[in-house]
Amino acid sequence: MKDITVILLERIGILLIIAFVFTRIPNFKALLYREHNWKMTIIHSCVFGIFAIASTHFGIVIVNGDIISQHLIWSVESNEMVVSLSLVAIVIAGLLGGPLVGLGAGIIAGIDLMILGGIGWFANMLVNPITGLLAGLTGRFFSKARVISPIQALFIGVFPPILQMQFLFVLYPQNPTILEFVNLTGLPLVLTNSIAIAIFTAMIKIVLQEQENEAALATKQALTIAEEALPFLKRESPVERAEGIANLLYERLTVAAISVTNQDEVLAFKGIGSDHHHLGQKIMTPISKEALKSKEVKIAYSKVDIACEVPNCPLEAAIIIPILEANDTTSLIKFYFKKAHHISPVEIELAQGIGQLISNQSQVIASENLKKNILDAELRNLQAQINPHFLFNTLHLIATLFRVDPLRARHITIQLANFMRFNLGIASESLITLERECEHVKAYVEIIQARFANRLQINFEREHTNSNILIPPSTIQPLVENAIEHGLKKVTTNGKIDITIKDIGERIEVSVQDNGVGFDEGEIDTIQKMRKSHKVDSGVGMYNVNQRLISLLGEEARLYIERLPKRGSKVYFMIPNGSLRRNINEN
Amino acid sequence: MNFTYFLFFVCIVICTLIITYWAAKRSKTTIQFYTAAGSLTGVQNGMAIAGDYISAASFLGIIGQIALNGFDGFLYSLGFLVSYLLVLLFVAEPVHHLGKYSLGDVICARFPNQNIRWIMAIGSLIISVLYMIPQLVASGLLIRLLLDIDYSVSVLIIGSLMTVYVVFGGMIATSWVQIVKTVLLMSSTFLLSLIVFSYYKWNVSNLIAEVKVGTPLGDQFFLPGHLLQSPLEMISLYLALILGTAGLPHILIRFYTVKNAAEVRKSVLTASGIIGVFYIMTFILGLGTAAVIGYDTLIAADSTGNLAAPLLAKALGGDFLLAFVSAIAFTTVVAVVAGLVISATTAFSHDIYHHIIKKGNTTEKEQLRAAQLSAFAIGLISTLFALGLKDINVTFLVSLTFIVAASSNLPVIIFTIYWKRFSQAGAVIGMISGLVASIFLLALGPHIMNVDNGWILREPIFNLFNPGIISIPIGFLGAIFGSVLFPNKEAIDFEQFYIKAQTGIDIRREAR
Repeated sequence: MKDITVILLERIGILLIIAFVFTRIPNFKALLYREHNWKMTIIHSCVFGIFAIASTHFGIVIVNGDIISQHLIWSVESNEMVVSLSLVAIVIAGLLGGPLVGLGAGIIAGIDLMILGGIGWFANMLVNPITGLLAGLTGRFFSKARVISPIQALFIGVFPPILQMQFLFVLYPQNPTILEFVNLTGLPLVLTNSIAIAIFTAMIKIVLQEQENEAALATKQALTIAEEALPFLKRESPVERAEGIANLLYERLTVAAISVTNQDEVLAFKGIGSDHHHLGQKIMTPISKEALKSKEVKIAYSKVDIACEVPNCPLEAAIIIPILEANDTTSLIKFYFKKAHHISPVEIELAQGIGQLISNQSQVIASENLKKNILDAELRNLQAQINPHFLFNTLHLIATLFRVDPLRARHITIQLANFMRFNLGIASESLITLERECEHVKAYVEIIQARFANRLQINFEREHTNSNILIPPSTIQPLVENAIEHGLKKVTTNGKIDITIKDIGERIEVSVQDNGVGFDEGEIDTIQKMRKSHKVDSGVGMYNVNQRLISLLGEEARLYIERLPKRGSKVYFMIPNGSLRRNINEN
Repeated sequence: MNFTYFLFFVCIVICTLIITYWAAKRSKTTIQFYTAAGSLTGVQNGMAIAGDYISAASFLGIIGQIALNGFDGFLYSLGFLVSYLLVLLFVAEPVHHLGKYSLGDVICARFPNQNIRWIMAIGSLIISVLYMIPQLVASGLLIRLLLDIDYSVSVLIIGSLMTVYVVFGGMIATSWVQIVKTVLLMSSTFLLSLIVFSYYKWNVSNLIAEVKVGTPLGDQFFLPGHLLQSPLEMISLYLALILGTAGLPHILIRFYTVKNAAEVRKSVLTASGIIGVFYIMTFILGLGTAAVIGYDTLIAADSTGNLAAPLLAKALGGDFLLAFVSAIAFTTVVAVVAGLVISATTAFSHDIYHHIIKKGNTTEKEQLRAAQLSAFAIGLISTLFALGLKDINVTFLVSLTFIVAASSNLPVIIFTIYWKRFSQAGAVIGMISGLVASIFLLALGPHIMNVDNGWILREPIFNLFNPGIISIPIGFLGAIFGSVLFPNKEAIDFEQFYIKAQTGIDIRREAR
């Protein structure tokens, strides 16, 4: 009995090594995750059936109570008896694939045993399919998990040989050979079977665990990708955005191709098949339309679903991920694969994760933009309102000038008209050329100069710069106004304001400098940091300018405020020199 | 001990411990501990009930009885089956609707009174422990025979296993041990019956011819009148069997483990189906034993016939099959005693500790703690008793259990559910009179008073082994008289109670 146990354990060892090698093959892993349909049931049955046949032929032969140790069993005489190890494979088949797979694999193994023959072949043949069926049902009954634990398997593995022995008794009653055989091999088979099944289960558990780890990595990857996609998502132009995302995903993922579409057409395509998947193609396939409509990830498993016009297109499968913005599908991202089985649940999860993250981010970006637009509109409305004091003062000035200097009065009237026209126009545009802004400032300066001729000297200096520089409207004028009202409040004579526009390479520096009282630290702080404050004083105008500069031209364009060493202060900012073409209205 | 036996034995122990470990992780609240949180399906619960009910005495004893006494042995087993009709028709669903954890809950749903709870709890405790001790003793003897280990060792093993199951796994572990036991028992008896048939070339007349050769009864084997000669004795036995099951707390609390009335019905149907098929198979095995082993060999091995199944297995399949059947017998034992421990535990920790001592003011954690401690104590005490009472008359205790259940528990349960004028006093009097009558009549009967080998060596005063025919009516009459003489002081809304018992709908709560 001990000899048989040892020999059987050795044989099982060989089988386990083979099985281990199989679990290292990527396609085997794919096998574990398959949906259960008829095709897969048959494939699984065949795989495990073949494994069971191999196990049978790795078994031993017994004649009259003696073991005949062969390397492999090829034929069995009628007075010999096979000790088959096929039940190990059959139980695994049943536990993993369910009753049907167990039954199928059992039938295959049973047919082989029938052909092999020997004493007791009929019982051996019958016990395989029944064991498979029962193992499948037992697995379902005891555990909802995909793979039962090795210790449970150890227990379940005890019973198939018992069943086999009882079959032998039932089918070969009053047979001393059978009785002897059972007493000789029963216990060794029980031992080896249960150990082998437990080890096998443990092995499969490890494979599944590896897949879980892969899934964890994929999650991390999705998060990284979502983060990296952020700059592209912020792009204004949909095409640029799509291209950026397609490139990023293609780099980061192992897929055959990536395409990004909006609701109707392909905006970007990267990867295999880019020779005939052109940009601008309309979305035609029903599955894409379904994804657009249902807002759910869809998977195309065949060429038919992808419906590429080119017949030898290498792409055979795709995951279609809808990207949502404010509950509407605004675009689709498609992962293309060369073969349907390249899509594992990990890929699907990853796709879903990426879809969700990108949707969330675009939603955040959209709402940010919305907020910015609202803020901008609000600010422009504020600026459009002309300080009534300024208007009255200017009208008074004009009335006075009519008597002393009608020509000057006329000039100032025209300047006032320009100034007002400009202010009315502010609300319609978010960026204007520096030229127009300068004219506006000049008009203002002239009016002010006329009013405070004896108190104030304003110099406007402008270097020659490019013509296409853009600036938010009414940015400089509030600074000048602030310098007059605030900086020169207590200055009665020799007030001086210098407005300079300098080209400093990549940027244009605009500065307004006065020789007044200057700001104290608190005020500087208020202007730079404060959120909307309720107190309406000079700071608000500056704050608004700062906000507009930052929101339209970026953090680099923010206002700087300096106290000058002697007296007075300098307020300046830098805007990009030249080719910037952003316009918020384009979006 | 044979290595093959040892291996199977270890395998069963490991399996049940795995189940317990798994269950322990799910047994965190009292409702999970007492009732598996109603998580079982009807079929699972039915299998568990069958596992709870088919004791080693049934598995081994009845096969032996049939092999020795023929038809009467089979008739004896029928009583166990028919009792489920009563359970199904009258008791199962109301118990599920009215109670929460224990049998006391059912009666207290109508009479919310501490005294009633006391009596019900004590009654449940007595029945469970009285039933557990003979089970332990019998299985200790049995395991000694099968595995050739010392009596005290086997009792200790079984006692500690059942305690471990219940303390750590509560109702969940108990249920699953019972389910596994049912599956193993049914499949092995089925295969064993097939082997018996195939042994006689699938020819039943061959088998019957061999049976007639093997037994001294000859043609009489298939006719009644060998085991129980007196008709009175027989009727009495059946009354106790049929009515007793409906009063066994460890069977009744199993109806809390499913979630609705439909599942309750399904569990009773499954259980009775399994038990019915099981007894048919024991009949085949009994015939097989008579035919293959023969009367003389069987009596020579063990005079009670308890070794029938193991001997048959050995004759048919050598040591291997014998080892397997012994392992099954072992599983059968542990599954039944675990069920008894949990029912005793519920009676003590839920009824006595939680409701009576603490007046319902205990936290979830304390209740669970108390339940585990009492399970441990009950397991320990029963094991100690079983160790000391090795020579006790086992059949006496078993019949006592059924008679007490039938004469004291059942009248109270039935009247509580169905009789409008039943009163608190009636419940108390019915319980006590049934209990006293059973014990008294058994004490005066031939189990105790016996000229040959009784505790008291004299002619029995009361000459029936099974006093059920007297004590059961006494229990019912006590309840009726109690209710008539001491009617309820305040009117109880029986209509509302009855609707709740039958449908589970609490109209009082809905009206509020």
